[in-house]
Amino acid sequence: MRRVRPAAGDLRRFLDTYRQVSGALFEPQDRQGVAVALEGPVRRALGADRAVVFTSFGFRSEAVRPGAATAAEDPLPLVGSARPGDGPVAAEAARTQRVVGPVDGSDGETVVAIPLADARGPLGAALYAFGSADGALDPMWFDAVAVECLEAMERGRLWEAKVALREQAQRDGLRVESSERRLRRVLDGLFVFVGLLEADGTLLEANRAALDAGGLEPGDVVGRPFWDAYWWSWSEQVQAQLRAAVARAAAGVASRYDVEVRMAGGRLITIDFQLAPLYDDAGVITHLVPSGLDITERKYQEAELERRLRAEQRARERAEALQLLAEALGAASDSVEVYDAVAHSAASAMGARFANLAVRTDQPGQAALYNGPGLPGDMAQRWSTVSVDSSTPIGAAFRSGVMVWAADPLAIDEQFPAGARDAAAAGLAALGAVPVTSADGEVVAVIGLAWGEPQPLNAELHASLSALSAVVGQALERARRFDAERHVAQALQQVLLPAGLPSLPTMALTARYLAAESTLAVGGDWYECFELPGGRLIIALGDVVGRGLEAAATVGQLRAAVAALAATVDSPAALLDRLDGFVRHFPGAVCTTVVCVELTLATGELRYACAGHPPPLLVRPDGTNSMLEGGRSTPIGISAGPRPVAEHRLEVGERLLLYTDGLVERRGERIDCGFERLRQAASRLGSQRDDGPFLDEVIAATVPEASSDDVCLLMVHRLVPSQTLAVSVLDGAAGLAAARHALRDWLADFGVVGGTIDDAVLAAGEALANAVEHAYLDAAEPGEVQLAATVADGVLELIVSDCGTWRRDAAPGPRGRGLALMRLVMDEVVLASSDAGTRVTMRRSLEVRS
Amino acid sequence: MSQLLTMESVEQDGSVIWTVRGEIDLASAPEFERSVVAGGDGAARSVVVDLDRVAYLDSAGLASLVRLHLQLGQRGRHLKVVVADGTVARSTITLAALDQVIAVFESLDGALVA
Repeated sequence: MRRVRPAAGDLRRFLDTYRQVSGALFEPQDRQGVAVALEGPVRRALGADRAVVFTSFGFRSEAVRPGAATAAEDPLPLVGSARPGDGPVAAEAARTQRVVGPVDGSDGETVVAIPLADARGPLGAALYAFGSADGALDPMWFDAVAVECLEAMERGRLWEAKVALREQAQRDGLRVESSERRLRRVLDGLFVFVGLLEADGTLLEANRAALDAGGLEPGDVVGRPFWDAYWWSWSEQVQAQLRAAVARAAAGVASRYDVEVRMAGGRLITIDFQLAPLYDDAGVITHLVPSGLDITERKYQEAELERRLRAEQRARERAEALQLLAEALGAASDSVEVYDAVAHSAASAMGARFANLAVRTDQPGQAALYNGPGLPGDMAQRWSTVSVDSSTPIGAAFRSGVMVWAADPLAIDEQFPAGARDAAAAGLAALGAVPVTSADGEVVAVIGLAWGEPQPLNAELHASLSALSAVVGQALERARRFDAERHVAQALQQVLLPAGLPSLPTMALTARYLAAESTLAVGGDWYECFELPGGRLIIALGDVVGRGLEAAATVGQLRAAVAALAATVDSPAALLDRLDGFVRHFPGAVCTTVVCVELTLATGELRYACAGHPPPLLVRPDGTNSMLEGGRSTPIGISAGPRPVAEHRLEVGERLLLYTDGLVERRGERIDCGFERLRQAASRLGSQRDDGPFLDEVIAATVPEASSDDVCLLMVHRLVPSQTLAVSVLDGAAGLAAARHALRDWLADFGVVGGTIDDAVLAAGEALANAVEHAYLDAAEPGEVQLAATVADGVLELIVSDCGTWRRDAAPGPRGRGLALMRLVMDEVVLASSDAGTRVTMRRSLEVRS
Repeated sequence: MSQLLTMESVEQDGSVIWTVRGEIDLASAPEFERSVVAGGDGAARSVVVDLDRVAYLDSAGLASLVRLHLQLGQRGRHLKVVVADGTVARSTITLAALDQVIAVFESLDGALVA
């Protein structure tokens, strides 16, 4: 089956472009900024030569075509503006809220219009002109960009609203907190601590800055152990560390380490702390000198750097994980596979603890949840559906069409109080919901994500999530098409192939049909198989020219014709002759190739004819095989005169394989190679007892992974008969013939030669007749007589038993002859009578036909 | 008449010729025997029974042949059995050495000239 997936290069390029676009659109704060970004960085990311952005909030850019003196000469503005009437393309994009184009501009330019809107309504359009219509102009990509624009504009609108609120608040005299904090940090940066200790650690002196920073007076600390001072006493560990440093310094070893100390108000700052011994002239340690430099800012910078590095690392990891996810989605074919791939991979791709996918169901307002791993068991069960109207991140994303974010438990509590307890119980500290939008702007799914730690939505994460949404959206669209195609293909396949195969005691029929890689190109391979009166099986297998619906219709006609005509002709060749006549009415069937086989079930006699079709393959139990090359003629509809028929015999244990050319043909290869490959595969499979696996292995060995042709196989396997036979005669003499026939058929199936069959049937017939005639002489009704036959180690054993009493005296003359005949044709005859009945056991070594 | 057996007779050159198809066993032997006896009442001097197409013949059938041979002989008529070598009936007849008692012919023509 075809898996529609973009080439890896395209996907990578798309992801790359997408991340750039998304990043560029995340930077601006207001809608004006978004419009500027659309004109600049987004245009560059898209690889467009020029861009014109029209918006209803007064933004209008004009990119004058190089060489044009004025805007009036530039054709690009003429293809549209946001105002209806100004031009078709941009106006249409703004009106329909759909991507319009690519359309031809002038000077060989290709133009695409992307609609602009926020949640309140249309805002205008952005036009991009490309120098040529190259591969970058896949409309699918632009749909993703349009969604991105929508989100950016909506963010801009919300930001503008927030700014307006804040300005209002400022006017109301409320202070803005952040500037004060910035001032504090600058002041704190000036803090330098210096002091003097006794060698035992008693503080003798501390400078003003240190005292002020701690909100202390000298009397609070001087004369006491340094480590008991306010700066240190907030942590026993810090105190212990200092005591150790004092001890080392007293022993002549200086210490230097970064440590957090407590400032006035309890705030902690990090200082670069040093403690060094002070020597007198005699070289004796008299004092210790502590000093500290506030490095909070440096620490902050280091932490910031590290955070940035981590963020970059995470971004790289996300990009890689996203690439993996995109590949996994590319490998998924139907919708459910896509759902599962998203649920299982989205969390790791985004560095989240848990992910799920909500997909709209047939029930209005309901979405089914596909949960990834990592949820507590009972929660996974409860979270199987979600209402679009629910107060959940997923519901909100369905309704708004934009990303919904709760960055920490507080935000969860505020925005989604109903689910806060569940989230807390599952250890989830941040929730996000990312809408997946179809080409026509409908939110078809929402990706739910959850983190164990607070997770602010920054530009980098936002870009990754947007890319995730776009990739999932495309995968869902592909899957939807695949589902539809598969539905059609399955419907057509029912036309092509019989619903079932006859179930026969002596022959096993097995068929396989492999659709071509592309499901819509339904092939013309078909077969028909049915039993005719007289124990004959008719099999026809063929390949009509052409594909698709028309081929399917032709196949339907041919199958009907074969079924109708088979009973009216006396050979497979004559059936093909009749099909020649049939195609006069159905020209689509001309040049159909067919192999037609008539198989006599009791004997394995085969008659076959091939109209331009590959020869059937006969496979013996030891794997040796041969092509049945006889009965060959031209394809249907181009034959003159009666076609030839060939004969063969399918022996017990042998298989006859009919197939279409897809099994043996490969592009750029001589068909002989295909036949050879098939024969080699068959020769390895002689020991395969089961027919289904036999065919599967033949297919695996011969059909390439992505075959462009469909393949049809039908195999008939003459079964080794059961090792035992048991027949009952209930109705006296009248039932003898049926018992003999059963024995005869069983022996024939077994491959026992004719004369031996006659002898065994005679012996059994005599014994059965004896029992029928004599065992129940005194009974009112005929009693039961049983025949059991087994073959073991080349010896046939026949046992005829009854539950009556024999009266030898009542059986003069011919009875003796019956027993004599039994003894003549069998190697051994043993007669045992008891009150319970009589049993005749006869044995004979078999000559089984080789 | 038994489903197992079909019998047709013609008179030719002073003989009644029975063509027998099917199986002669305990169930069908009485029918077979009665038919031949009844057909032997006419002017024909000999009764020819063609068993070439008989698919099964057991001791009940053999007993019928023996009785036919005796009964027809009493009425001055000959029983001739036509059964080709290699047929099922022939092998049973040979096994039981009945060919030493009854006149057995390889072909109908042979039986008629004899």
